[in-house]
Amino acid sequence: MEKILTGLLKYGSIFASVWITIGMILSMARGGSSNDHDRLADQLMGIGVVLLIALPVARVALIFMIFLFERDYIFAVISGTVLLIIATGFLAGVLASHITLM
Amino acid sequence: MSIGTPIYSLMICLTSLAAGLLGGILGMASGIFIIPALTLLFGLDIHYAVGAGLISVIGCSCGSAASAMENRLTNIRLAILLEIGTTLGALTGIILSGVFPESVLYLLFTVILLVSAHQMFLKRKKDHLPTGPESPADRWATKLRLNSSYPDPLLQCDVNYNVDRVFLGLFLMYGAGVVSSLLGIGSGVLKVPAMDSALRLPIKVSSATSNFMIGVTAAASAGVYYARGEILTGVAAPAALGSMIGAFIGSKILMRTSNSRIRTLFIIVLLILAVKMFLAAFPGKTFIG
Repeated sequence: MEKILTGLLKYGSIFASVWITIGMILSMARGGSSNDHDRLADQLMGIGVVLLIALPVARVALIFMIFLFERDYIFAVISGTVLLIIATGFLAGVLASHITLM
Repeated sequence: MSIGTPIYSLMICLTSLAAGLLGGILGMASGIFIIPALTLLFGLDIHYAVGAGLISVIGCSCGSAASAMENRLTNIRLAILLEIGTTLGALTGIILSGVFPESVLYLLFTVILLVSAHQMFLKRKKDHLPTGPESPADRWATKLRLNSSYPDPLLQCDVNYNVDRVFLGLFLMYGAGVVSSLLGIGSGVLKVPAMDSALRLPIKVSSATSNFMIGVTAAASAGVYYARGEILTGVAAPAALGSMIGAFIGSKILMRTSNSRIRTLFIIVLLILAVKMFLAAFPGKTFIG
């Protein structure tokens, strides 16, 4: 179990930082001194940010599946609860932002 | 300098790199230095600084959690159980952040800085104390099979440990989660002592396990901030990148040196930051550079 999680964390964070690096280099190369926002560069960095947020959630999801696989149902429920709390918060956040937008 | 320009991003990246380096050397999360840097140096609204802080906390935690797991220091079962507390706390913190005025956030941050300084002071004193006798196990800890062991490089064998007072631990983790999402820090400064005193874990295990939880806690609140559009990519992305690189380099330095003089220096830095943040809580009366 440790091995899979270690791999996910290590390569996941490297992957996310690569996106951010590309985005930053692109914004430097394109508009070093000008003040306009570079949309593509922003989007690339955005991908990195989203990946970073998703990484720990993916980790909990993976743990959840491992516990299910090992038939450790108590801990499957516990990790499932954590996922549920995170999902609830996210949905509430989305809903709240839509209400204020309308 | 306006937000989102390449120069601005680069400055934030470099500042975060320094913050991550500081945090890494001290073995704590970079958030505690990034938030003051973003608010005091860049004059960023503390709410946006919190969003960027959370993203960089996730980055640092993922990187260091991976290496701690390779050394079998992390108690994953315990971490996932305590995460119920921290994630619930994170959601509570988000609700509170809408209610609290900015000055309360600055004051709370001041308190956290003082707590960290105090802890660093204690660490300096008991660095060479041997680990205490084995603690008794909680009934629930036994039932949930939370008790475990870790390899000790000095003794060259596995050391068994028990987990005590699980419910008190859960309650304390809830509090740590609230602080984490309010201030955009990992709040490892709160988690590690909570695990030391409530659960009576060996220090290495509690810091590795706390690091593992920090990412999930921060992601729970970062997700909400992101959904509400309160995370500025132009700030958060370079901050995360910088602090990840800084933390990586810092952790390499930590392995080589653990000097008590460096600690004293950082206690002073923390105290200065505490004063600065305290003054920033009253923008009407003082001038903030």
